[in-house]
Amino acid sequence: MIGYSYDGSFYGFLTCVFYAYAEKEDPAAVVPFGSQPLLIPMRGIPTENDKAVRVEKGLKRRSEEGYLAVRDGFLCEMPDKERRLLAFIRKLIGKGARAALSYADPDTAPLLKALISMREEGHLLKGFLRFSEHEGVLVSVISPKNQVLPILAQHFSIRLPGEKFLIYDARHKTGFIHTEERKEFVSIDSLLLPPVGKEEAAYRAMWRGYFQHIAIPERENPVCQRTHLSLRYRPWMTEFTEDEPVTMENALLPARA
Amino acid sequence: MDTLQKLTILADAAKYDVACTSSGVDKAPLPGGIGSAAAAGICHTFTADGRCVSLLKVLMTNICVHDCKYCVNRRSNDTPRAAFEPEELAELTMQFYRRNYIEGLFLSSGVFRNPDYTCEQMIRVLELLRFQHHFYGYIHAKAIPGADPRLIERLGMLADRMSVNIELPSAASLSMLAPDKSRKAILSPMKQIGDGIAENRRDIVRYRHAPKFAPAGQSTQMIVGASPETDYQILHLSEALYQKYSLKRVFFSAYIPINTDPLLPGKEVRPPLLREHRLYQADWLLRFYGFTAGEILDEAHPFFDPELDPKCNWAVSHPEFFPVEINRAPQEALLRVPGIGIRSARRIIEARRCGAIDFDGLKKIGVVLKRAQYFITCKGRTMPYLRFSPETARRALIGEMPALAGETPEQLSLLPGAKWMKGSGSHDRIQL
Repeated sequence: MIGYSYDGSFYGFLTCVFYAYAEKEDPAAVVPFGSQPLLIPMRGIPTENDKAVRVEKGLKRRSEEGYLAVRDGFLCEMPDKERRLLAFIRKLIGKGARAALSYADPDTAPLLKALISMREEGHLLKGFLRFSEHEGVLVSVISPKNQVLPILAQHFSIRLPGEKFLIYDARHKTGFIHTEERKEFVSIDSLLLPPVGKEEAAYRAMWRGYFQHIAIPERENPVCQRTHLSLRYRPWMTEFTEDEPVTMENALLPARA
Repeated sequence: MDTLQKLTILADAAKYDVACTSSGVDKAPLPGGIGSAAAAGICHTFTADGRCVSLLKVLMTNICVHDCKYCVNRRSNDTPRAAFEPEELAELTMQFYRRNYIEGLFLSSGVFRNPDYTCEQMIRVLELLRFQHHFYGYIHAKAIPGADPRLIERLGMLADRMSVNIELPSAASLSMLAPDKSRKAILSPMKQIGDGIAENRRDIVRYRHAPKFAPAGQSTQMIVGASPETDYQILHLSEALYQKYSLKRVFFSAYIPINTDPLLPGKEVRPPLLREHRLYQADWLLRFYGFTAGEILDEAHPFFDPELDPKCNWAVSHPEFFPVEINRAPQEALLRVPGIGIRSARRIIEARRCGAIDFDGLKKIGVVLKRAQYFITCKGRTMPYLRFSPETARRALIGEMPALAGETPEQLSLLPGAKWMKGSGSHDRIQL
């Protein structure tokens, strides 16, 4: 019995897949470097881009949809993610895309379920994410379970092509920076935002006022609200949070960068 | 009056309008523009009443010449009145949009001076958004009944979706509760928009760059519970609207007593939320499940069963249709089974191509077996250890939905009973 460890990148994982096939091994664990030590012998697999590309091409050749499931599955939050992906890849290569993408199959169903929840979270955050303007730059902080930043980056790059914006995923410590010249993912350890300016505070107040008044009191239904908008998104949403009270000092000072 | 005050007054005035979806069109901005739309629609938040907020839903003004009895903005009501300047509203929309508060604008209006003037004001806002701010996001505009057809056409060229509210389910109720409006004045813009969309579709085939007229289609809404129509009449009307005017959506709005009038239900009446819920369930059956209005309700049963949803109700009263064999039945038959939805039907069809499905597989697929078990077989067998009669199945199905159930959800399905579905298919209750 042997386990693989890799650098945590997608290509690193594909390199592991390459070696699992090349050495005819079925690793009992595939984990990123630095995770909790296991009681089995581990082999470190350094990322080799050419091997990873071969695996990538092979998957794409079998099925585009199957490849996308692997690529997106890698962004999911799920226990034993790498081994489930490996099981999926074995099914895809051994039995074909139709068998691998079947929800009735006990080997691949957990991955497909995780994919649905990841795409769902990505879709929800397209709406639930809130920007605040700081000196002409739109900044947003989110804390999703899955790594949905690539989905959001694509969505907002199409939607707001002329804007400068930053989306920061506080849980996975990554950010996406978008300006007209520069579009890139960066890793950010922590983000300290300047106090909100006057105009931003005014729009926040208007949005909160609107949100209060658009509800019909006779139909109040907090359970229904919670079903659709789970509590874990709310700390990052303007209408469910309060600003610090505006004092004379911070109202008169221009916002600092 | 500042924008915040106007916004709260005009949001209050617009909140009883239920349509708020941002669906039906996929688009990306041209260079220099801002804003996109996704066909599935995107919800931006949910209010305390559990409704989705997708669009900034406001009235241009709540000043109105009409005196419709059910409406919060009727002329004779003593409420604060306000009106947006077109520039003010366009700027507000853009600032909300940049911050990702909203998916676009939903613009309606009280009739100020006359329908044409009101329509012109709305067009002005849309023109500012489209041409000055280069906004490519979603816009839903209400057609004002009685406005000049050329103005309606202009509005349709600027908006993604158009709607005309049919308000009440019959002409008699309309003339009683909304004396200034007529059925004809409502249906003629609806017909114009429907024809405009159809004609535009032909033009787009011919000339690729033909300007698009209301590309996300049109919708309507009606108030349920303010007038005496039956569910059967309402459902038939919505079916006719889907077929005749090819509407995308018909929305139902449970009447909330806001005005006192001898012709209206009293203020103590609770809004008929369950009835509204059942209507939406039936509406889904019409649009996605291949049901017709006549199958769901008929003249002998003109109201929905408060205890059982329309699909379960149909299934329980049509034992001759069941059981459905999961591994062979066509999609239309699968969709008739309670507990199987659009997604799970599609997954079943995908999955059975590479091997027969058993009950365990069905569970993984996402079928609600608690409901579906009475109506299906897998590889020719029913669920193991399942014994029931029509009556016990009905009771178990009711008990399945505690939020909507009656007071006695007993577990009668555990009692031994005759297997009713394999019998002659009679509707009679089988005695235990």
